[in-house]
Amino acid sequence: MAECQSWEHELSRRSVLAGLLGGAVAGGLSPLSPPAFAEELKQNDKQILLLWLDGGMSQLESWDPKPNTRFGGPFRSIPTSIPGVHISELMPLSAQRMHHLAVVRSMKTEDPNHSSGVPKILRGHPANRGVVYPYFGSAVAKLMGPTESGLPPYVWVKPGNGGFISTHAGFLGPKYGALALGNGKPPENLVRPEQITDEADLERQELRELFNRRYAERRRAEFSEANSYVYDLARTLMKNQDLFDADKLPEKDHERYGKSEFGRHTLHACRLIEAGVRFVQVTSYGWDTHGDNFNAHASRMPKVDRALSALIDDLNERGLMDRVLVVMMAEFGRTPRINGSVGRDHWPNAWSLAMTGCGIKRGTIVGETNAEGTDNATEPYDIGSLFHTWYSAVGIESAHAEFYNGTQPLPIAHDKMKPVAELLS
Amino acid sequence: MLLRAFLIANLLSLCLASDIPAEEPLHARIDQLILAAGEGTTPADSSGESEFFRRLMLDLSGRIPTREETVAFLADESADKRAQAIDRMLASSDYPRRMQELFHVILMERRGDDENWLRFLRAAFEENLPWDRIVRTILIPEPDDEKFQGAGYFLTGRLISEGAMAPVDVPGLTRDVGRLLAGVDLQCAQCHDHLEYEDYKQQDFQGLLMIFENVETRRDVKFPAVTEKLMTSPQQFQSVFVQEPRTTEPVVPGGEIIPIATFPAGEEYLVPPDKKQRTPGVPKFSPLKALANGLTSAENELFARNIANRMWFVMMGRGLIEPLDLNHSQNPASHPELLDLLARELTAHQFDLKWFLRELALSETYQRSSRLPESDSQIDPRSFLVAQEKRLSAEQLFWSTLIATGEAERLRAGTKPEQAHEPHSLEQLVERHASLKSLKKEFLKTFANPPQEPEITFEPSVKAALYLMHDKQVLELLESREGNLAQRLNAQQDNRKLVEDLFLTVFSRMPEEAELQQTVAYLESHQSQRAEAIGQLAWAMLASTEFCVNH
Amino acid sequence: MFDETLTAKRTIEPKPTRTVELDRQLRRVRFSPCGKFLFGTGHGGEINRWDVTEDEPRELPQLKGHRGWADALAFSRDGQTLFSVDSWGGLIAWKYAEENAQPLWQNSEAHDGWIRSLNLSDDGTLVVTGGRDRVVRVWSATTGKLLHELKGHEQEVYAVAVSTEGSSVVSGDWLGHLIRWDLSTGDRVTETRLESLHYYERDQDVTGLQSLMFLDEGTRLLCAGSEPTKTGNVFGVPCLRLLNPESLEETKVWKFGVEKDGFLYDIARHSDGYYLFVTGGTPGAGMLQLFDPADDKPFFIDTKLSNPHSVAIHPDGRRVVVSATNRNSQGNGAVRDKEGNYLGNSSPLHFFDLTDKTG
Repeated sequence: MAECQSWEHELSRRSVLAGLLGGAVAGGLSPLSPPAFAEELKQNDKQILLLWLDGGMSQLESWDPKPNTRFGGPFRSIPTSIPGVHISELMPLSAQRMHHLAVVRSMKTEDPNHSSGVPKILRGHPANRGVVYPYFGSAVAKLMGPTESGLPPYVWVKPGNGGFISTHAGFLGPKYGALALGNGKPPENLVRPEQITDEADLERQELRELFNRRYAERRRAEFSEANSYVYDLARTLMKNQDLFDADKLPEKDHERYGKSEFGRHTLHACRLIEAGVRFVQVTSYGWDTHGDNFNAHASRMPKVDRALSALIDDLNERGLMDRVLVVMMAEFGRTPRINGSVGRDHWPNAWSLAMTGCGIKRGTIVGETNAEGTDNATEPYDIGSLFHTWYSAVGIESAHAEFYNGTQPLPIAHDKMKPVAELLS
Repeated sequence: MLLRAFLIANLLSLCLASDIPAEEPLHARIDQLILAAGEGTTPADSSGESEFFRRLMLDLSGRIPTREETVAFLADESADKRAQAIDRMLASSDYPRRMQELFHVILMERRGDDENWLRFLRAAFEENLPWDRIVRTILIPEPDDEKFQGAGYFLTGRLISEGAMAPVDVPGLTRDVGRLLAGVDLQCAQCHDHLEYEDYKQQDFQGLLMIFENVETRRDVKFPAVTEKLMTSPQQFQSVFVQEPRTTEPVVPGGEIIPIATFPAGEEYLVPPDKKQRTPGVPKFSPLKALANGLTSAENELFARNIANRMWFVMMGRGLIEPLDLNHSQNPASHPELLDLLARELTAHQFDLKWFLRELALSETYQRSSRLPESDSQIDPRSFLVAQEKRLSAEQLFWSTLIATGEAERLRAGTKPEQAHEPHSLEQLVERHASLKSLKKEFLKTFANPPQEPEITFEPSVKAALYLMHDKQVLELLESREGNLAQRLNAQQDNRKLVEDLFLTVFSRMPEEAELQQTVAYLESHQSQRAEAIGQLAWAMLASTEFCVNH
Repeated sequence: MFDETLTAKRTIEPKPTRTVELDRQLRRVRFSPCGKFLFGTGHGGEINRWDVTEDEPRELPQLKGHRGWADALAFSRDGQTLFSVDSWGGLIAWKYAEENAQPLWQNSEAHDGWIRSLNLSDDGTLVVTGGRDRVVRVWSATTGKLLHELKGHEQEVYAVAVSTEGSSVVSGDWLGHLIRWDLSTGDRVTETRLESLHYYERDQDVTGLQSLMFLDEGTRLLCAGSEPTKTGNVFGVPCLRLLNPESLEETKVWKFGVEKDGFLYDIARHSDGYYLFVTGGTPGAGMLQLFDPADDKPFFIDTKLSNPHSVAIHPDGRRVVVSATNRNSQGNGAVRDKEGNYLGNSSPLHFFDLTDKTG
């Protein structure tokens, strides 16, 4: 069934100002202020980092190994820093840091297709209300706004092209879309041509504001304020140009996170979080291992392991663990049964995801699958419950908070679900 | 059919409606209804001359006026110069281009371009084809008329599969037909009767859907075209709430149920399919034709109300019904009598859009200032007692930038002598100059919405800001080159004259005295870097709200 | 090997004789040199065993002792001992012919993790293994004693081969890095990188290396595998490469198909000098090919097999077995039987007789 939505409805009900200034004004901040760094941010100013393994990481080759069983695959499991808990041998560094992580091993979601599964999971699959819900990042951008840094609240570090991805925002409107950094590169046109000095740029912006002020006399403020806001934001981005260029990060950090795409992007994301971006998503593509699953995971997992471990170390070292929620997941796991291409297929029935950071009871394993991993052995959790959990972890009362689509109030997460209590500290 | 009942109620309300003398022209009756509804509220002033002229030009010609056009209009002392300007623009070659661009965006919502389709739209507005005829041409394949061959793109452009994982979205096409041609978004009635709007029934959606499920894209011709399969049985459906199997025959939005006509085996086709020639057959029973005729019938109120409301939105910046595609009894028009009047009059004038736009443009309502009345800054925008600011489309912004920076003038002046006798429309300039082609592409990429998102509201973006701030091609427009604005201004030694020229060219108006003084002072304080200062001013104006909205 | 007299054999065709359905998936199949047994290593860590003295194979008790996946197999020269490895690092020597065969010796930690390759020297004294721990090890075939440990690969070792006279070893890793080692000193004699054996995209390495084998008294080295072209749902063109055993340079390449055909998973040499190999790629696809290296193309191709992974020739030179995969082995979500049990896949054993179609 196609999602129920009315574009024109959404757009026409959306006031330009509410869309464009809501976050910034609510925070009472100047978008032109320099980025605040970790220690300057309020202790309760929570942030989120989402590591997204697009295509579907295998739970059997990661968090929920079933070694030496029919579907267990070739790899061993190894003990972790939590007594009695084992994970795949492909994640030795994470195993040492298991007490910092919380893992759900009994995820059960609906959709076995990428095209519909990805958006459903990233939206927390709320009950159908006839509107297009925002992705996690857009939702958080709306609910929490930018931090005091004034940096855009939702940045997406991904391979391939970058840009401003408004479609993630759903009915919230384009402002809540993602600023996508393709290959960790800065947005298009971020770099000012050499012939324009900073002074000259400031001057032309002041002139533009002058014209805007004159125009705004005896007109509703929205249009000029919206125009001013995007120029302010553009300048905020420019002032933090180095932040948007992963190549500028120290070599030794690249070593620690690993010189893979995922390592580079996770390092970049960590720096963006430190600089005060509210929500950062890192996407790694190519996890759809219908063929050669085991060699693929043998190649991929160590890269994820290394990046995730370096991230955990950095967050701990910098005292950010209690302020930043980290989630690592995909749209589903992979089938226990091994197909003729030595691959595993799409598996929403019983899969795993991991998290750490603020509000999360670390060192927890929630749920389990049966001996061969072919079904959940304990209460299954849908993604809606996890969205409630994550909202709770960053201090949003997900049972009561609402989005407004025009005048229509909408629950921010599936209204029939609630947080997974065992995951919350 | 509840939609039908709703329309009858509307018709009844019409009979009880105003006692305005029938002989009054439509624009006068519009103003009377708007003023009557807003009784007690002071309307905004009438727009100033340059405010009116820029707005009209953007609406009917799709671009700002040139400095010369503005100067000439301001100098014109004839009493009916506004009406003259309206007629001039409707007759100009800018008009079909503007309508082509406008309707391309309305109907295709940035799904992509098709040469044949654009040619069709252009031809339709060059010939001022009535709207009902345009819609019939879109829905019923007319492959024999070369000019109109591209009309099928409305359907075929939506019947494209985006790869194996995304099947052809026939429900999406069905929804768009309802939204764009009848003003009813039946999407939420796909799986069950609409939960909130009692007019929207699942049968309405399913009855429309089955017509398009019966359609196939033709592969035997080079232009976009569809063909129909044989339809022999009703559509089966059931609500996800009430799991009872139901059936329907094709349903016309706002119209009748079309009974399925069956024929004995072997006699189903007017033209049987030819496997050798790979030509599709033409069935005797064409649900698409029945839909096209039923939808565009003079009796179909939804059809008339939709186009009247959409054209009102184009000119006035806000629909009488909003959202534009939620026309139903629980979402009445802000001015119900007015919408009824517009729909009725447009129908009576055989859906002549040029006539309709002219009437709208002639109204005082259209010609009000967008500046709020001094006495009432809280005036409700839905009252239409003050003009609404409107988003500039990417196309309007592109053409206006070419004019404001003198780029169009520069390239025209640089035309080879042997071509000098030819007219140089803006689109011809783009055809001739690769730099403009790429600039236009970038403008569309930067300022248009993503595919399938209606362009309704003003949505400035950081992307666009960075583009105007830093793009090399954009900045080059502001550098002094033979025949462009920067060069002309640089040559002007009198700062007052310079500022007047700048304002006339970019903002299409004279500067106010305070602005004049301020700007002259700025130039004087930058004597040593005069050229740079002129460039700074021009950039700031291009990036300002005043330039990038239609006010 | 490139003897023109072989052309006569190009009229040989494998004729299907029977298919034995299994309830489990296999990695490798091999006939014992005595001709009495067929062995198949399994996903459950078991080594399956069939008596093939009659035409109808008779299943015998499994050999148990491996963990993870039981994988590569090889036999001693005297035909008495079976060597097998697993994905957890285990290496076992079996007196395979006994009814309740017990390990002659075993080393459950021969490597740290998956042993990708196993080979024997021609004289049967040396067992060479290479694996995920990036190390190549040489063992005494009779005692299981570690003789040499060869370190130098920066990535997983996928294939090892030992020279005819047993004095050197060639190994290759997933980056396509090939090293020839001198066993008397443990030194690297030659090394090179074959770029076409490695593909990297979106954080995934794919190797085109499946196996290495010395030919013709060690004068040539055959490298089987593919030319990988895509990650994720892995694609590649199956191919054979002929290498100079001294310089390790590529001297000839044969490609057998297109991108979707995937890997050349397993290859067997017939005593008449031609080769049988199986390729498998996208779900359901797979081929058994008969190939004379004097030619550019195989002289026989069977495309009816579903994802075959291993092929073996009986010492009688007539019988052939291919382990393949059941049809429709791919499927998203839960595939269940009528009782609601979750279904696994299986490796049917397809038996063929090599027959001369002219005669």
